[in-house]
Amino acid sequence: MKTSTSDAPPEEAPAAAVQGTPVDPHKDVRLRELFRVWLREGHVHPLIHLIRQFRAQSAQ
Amino acid sequence: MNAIIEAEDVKTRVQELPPLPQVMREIVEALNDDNLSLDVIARRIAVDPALVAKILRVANSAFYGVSGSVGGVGDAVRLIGLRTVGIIVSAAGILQTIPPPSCAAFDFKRFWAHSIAVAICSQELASACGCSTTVAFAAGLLHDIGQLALATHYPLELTAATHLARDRDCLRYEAEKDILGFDHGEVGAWLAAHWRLTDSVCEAIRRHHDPGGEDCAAPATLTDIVHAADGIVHALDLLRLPHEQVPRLQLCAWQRLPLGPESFLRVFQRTVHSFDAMCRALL
Repeated sequence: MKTSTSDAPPEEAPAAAVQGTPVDPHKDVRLRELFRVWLREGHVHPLIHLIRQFRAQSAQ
Repeated sequence: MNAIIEAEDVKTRVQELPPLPQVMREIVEALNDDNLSLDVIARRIAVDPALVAKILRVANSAFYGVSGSVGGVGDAVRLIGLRTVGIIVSAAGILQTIPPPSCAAFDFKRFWAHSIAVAICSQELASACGCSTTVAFAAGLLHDIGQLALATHYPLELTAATHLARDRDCLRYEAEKDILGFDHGEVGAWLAAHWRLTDSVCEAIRRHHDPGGEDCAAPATLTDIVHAADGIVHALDLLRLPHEQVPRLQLCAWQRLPLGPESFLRVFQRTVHSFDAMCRALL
């Protein structure tokens, strides 16, 4: 299983930080696990951004 | 890897399964009829003692805070609501038709929890799209029914597909295609057609991993809704499974859903809350 940050498309990693929302590293790891097929294949889709936003909001 | 069983054999075995129980068909049809009163639905449920017992047990569970005080099926239906009644009736009907399988790779409780979550999310998306919420709920609830049929009749093959998916870290429906030559969506659609469910529900079950369609501006279909709901539920990580992964979502199918980011976030929120409540009541 690939979970390294190099698998992520360029726009993936910094998005939450740019928006100023807190990032839980454990949740971020989990997101990379959940979306590992997408990240590995460079599958681009709005859901990953929406889920990150939702998890950040839920964590607040 | 070559397919080790023939699609026609699976189709034949699916078509040998009993039809959905009559009482379930009547109740599901009644649940889809907005003009029918709760009393009519309660009277249809009352002819099946096993269903009555299940519904009373849920109504009297700690979740609803009235433990032991609900004695009539009418009061129980009013208390727990039609959506919960629909799930109880569907689960009972399916289990009468397909007994719980003994398959190492299949966990019925997990299967049912995921199905409930996708049903809830499909209903929320349908509501936001202006589509039929009851049909979306039913399609979501049954979208993985092919997995249950495979676990019952082909447990070794389904287990092999699950192991292959883990070994390759690929999506399970892809491993199913490698092992079987088709996936659980296809099997589920055969079963849904055998049960005489509508064409749109059969299609949504068949293509929930591959809705297709190249016109991204066309109206959303039931298949688009179930496809998106399945992906959303996996992404919400509601079951917290160690090997969980989100199946690919087709961008065009997603774009056909007339929802903006805020609407999607509301759907996520409502799905999480409803799923938590439903699990506390039912699972």
